[in-house]
Amino acid sequence: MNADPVFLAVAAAMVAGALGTALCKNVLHAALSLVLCFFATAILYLLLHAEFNALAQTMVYVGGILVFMVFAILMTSRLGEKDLESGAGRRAAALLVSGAFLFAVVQAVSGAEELLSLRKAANEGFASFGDVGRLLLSPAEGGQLVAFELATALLLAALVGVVAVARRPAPKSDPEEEERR
Amino acid sequence: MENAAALPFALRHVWIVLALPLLSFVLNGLWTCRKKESWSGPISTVLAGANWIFGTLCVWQWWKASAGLPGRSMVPWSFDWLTFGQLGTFRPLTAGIGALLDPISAMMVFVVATIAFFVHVYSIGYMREDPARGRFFPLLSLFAFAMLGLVLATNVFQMYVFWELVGVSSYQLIGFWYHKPSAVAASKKAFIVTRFADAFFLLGIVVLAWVVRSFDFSVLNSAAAAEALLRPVSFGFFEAPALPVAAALVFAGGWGKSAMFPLHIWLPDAMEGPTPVSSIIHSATMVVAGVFLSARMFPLFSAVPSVMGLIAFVGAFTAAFAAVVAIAQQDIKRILAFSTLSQIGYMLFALGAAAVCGGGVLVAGYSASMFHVFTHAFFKCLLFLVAGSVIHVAGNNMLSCMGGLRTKMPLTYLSALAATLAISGIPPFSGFWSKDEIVASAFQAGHPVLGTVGLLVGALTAFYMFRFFFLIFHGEARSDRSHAHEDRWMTFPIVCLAIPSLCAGILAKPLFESAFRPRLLPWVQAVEGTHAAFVPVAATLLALLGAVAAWFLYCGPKADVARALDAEHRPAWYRLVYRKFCIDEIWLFVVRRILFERVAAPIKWFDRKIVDGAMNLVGKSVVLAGWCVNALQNGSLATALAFAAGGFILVWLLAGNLFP
Amino acid sequence: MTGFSLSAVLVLAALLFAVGLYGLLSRRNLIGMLLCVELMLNAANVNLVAFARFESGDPASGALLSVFSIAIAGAEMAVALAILVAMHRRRRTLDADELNELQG
Repeated sequence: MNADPVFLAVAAAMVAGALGTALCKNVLHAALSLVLCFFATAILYLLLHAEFNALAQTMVYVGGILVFMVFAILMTSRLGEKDLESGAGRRAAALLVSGAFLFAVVQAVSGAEELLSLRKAANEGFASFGDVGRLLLSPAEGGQLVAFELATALLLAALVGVVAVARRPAPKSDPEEEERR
Repeated sequence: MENAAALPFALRHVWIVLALPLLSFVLNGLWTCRKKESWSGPISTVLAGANWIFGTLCVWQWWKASAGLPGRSMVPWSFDWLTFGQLGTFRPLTAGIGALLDPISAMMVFVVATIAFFVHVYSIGYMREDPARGRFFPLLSLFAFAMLGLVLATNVFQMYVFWELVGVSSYQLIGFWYHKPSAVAASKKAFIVTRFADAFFLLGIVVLAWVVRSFDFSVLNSAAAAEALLRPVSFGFFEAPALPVAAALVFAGGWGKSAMFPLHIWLPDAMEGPTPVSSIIHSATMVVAGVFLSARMFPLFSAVPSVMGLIAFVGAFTAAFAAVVAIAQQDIKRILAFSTLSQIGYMLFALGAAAVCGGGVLVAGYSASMFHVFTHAFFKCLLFLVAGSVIHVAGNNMLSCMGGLRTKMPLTYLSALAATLAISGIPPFSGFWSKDEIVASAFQAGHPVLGTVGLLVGALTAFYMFRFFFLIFHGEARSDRSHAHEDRWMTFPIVCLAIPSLCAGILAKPLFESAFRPRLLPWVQAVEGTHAAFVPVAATLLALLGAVAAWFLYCGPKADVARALDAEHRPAWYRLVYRKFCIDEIWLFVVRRILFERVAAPIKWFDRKIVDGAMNLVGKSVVLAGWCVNALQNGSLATALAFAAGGFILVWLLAGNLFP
Repeated sequence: MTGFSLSAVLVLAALLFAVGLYGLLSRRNLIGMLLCVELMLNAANVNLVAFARFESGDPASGALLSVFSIAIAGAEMAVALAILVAMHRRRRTLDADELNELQG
């Protein structure tokens, strides 16, 4: 297999972003590393000819979730504050578990010979905007309109729930809470 | 309960005899004990007096109602208390509470109620200065309650319950002055020694109930029970008739309570209690419990001559042993304690000798034993009360502080003289009649050696009792007497008890000879002996000899009182007697050096190291496992996640490798 | 034709997932843990898209599945962040080790 330099570069960027997310002491830095990782993932989707996924990744994750997350980080921690340290024992245990996971997956992937071949590779435009859009909004057989509408309902419910959970309680409802503040 | 409605009131409600002392105990124990201490004496004395009157009424009614009954035995009141369920095809084993009235229990009810009343009256005076008298009277009532329950017991189970109650209350009374280490030690000693014997009693009860399937005395003393007990029974590793084993075990309980040699060691130390306690323990209650038990089980016991022979031997030996020890004692309460041992020995050896009589049972021996219980109760109680009064005046127990009290305490002096004459066996005082019966019955039963021992002990008794009497009341005063006086509350019971000491013997003799006949098993022959004419003459002469010798040594013109009061500069044999033949030291050696060090210590080591070690190992491994599990459940998110993910991966890897 | 195979993408995704798992287990800050969860979810999405590209009989539907996954992940993240904010307001900490009230 000839190594594609573009793929290797994208993969390196993804791994670097992931390592930054997992290892950075500062949570804000970790979140920014995650942005790097997600951008690289979007490029990987483009390499896989899944343009719609790449766009959704960029818009939803990078544009939505991560911005939201950075706001949350800034709300809950002071800038420059050192993050909570975890002990060497816990790091070793985490390394053991994740290493075992990696070993198991790599063993499984390398044991499955047929995955190495590109037997039923889809055509390059399999997930173009037009196809995916039609599929997403088609009420016909094979269309995903119901799932799409359900997802919108779920997002709406999540939004309402978020507001309910995160809003401050009414000022006079709980005197103890007031006192604590 | 035979046609209860026809019984007179006192018999239908004979439980009142038990209820009144119990009421006194509860009332005083819960109410007056702390707040109104001055009330406790009068309240319990009034109740004891009521109990005396009611008890006497019961005895009178019983005497009239039981005329036609076999053995004058009746159970006017009883109920089933515990029923131990149906076992196999056997009928259930029932333990009742009730009142069995027959000659011996009626006599004991009368004696116990009488003595208890007079001791209560006396205690008002004796304990007047004691700050803890609020605790004393309830305990005294409990003691009377326990003893009355014991003598009225319809079954051996009830008797055991009250037997232990007697033990507990005596423990509390002997250790009444618990701030004195010697009193605490004495109470512990009494409790442990009698408990040691009671363990055998309990085993005997178990054997009896196991074979006979009943606790009732009426069943146990029947021919059927004796036959069942005489059949060989398997005891697990050997096979033998149950009766000798059971009788020996049951008698062992009486052995301890009646303080027979070598279990007598608790009784002299029990003098640490207040003197009224010594009086009630020694005269009518605790120490005659063993005699009473043997008399109660007499029909059954008389079927095993070996055990009765043992009883006779132990009784005679203790009578002689204690009489010898009493001669050398300096503490007046100890003299009386050993004289009690000696008199109890008389009672037991009369019982035992009566049953070992050429294949039959000598009726006179049984009645003589009960007769002596009766007469002894009064004069011994009186002697202890006198000792208490004397100690109050002299401020000390020792003979070296007595002397010359005759003029200061004339009433006490005369009463003490009556009691001394009675216990010494000088006619016509009460002791003469019962002791004469005992010695005569020993000769009649064909035991001249025992009879001779009885005669000689009679001489010794007269000697040590007159030594006691002369050294207290005659001679010169050996301590300060400026405050000497006779307390009215204390003198009244003393004078009252002098009356039965004088005349109880001659008045009650026909009654005992006619009514106190043992009920015997059908195949045991009753023997009627003839009273040997020489016995009363010999007994009287020997008693007079003892008394005169005492006068000569301690009171007469040539008496050397100083030498009599000196226990140290004496020959070795005298010091050995003074130290009670070192029996206490021997016991201490046996228990401490042999039992504790050679037997108990290795067992303790095994228990601590092996048994406990195994238990601790189990416990610790469980704790360790729990600690491990606890570590998984620490509520930490990271731990839970790590275990979840790690477990998942482990299962995956295993599944992939096991099922490729 | 691209010059990389399905297995290469799968190993890459596994690597991302393992790194995310390591972060999830080793971090104590709840927001950091949430970031790592996102990383793991992203690795799963990469897997989905790769399988759609190389192995699926209906590639457009496969790609669409990861789109739904991203949408639902968005909703989940919003809720989780809201909970964390509320928790921080109440307890003034986001240390996972201090949230152990469920300890037996």
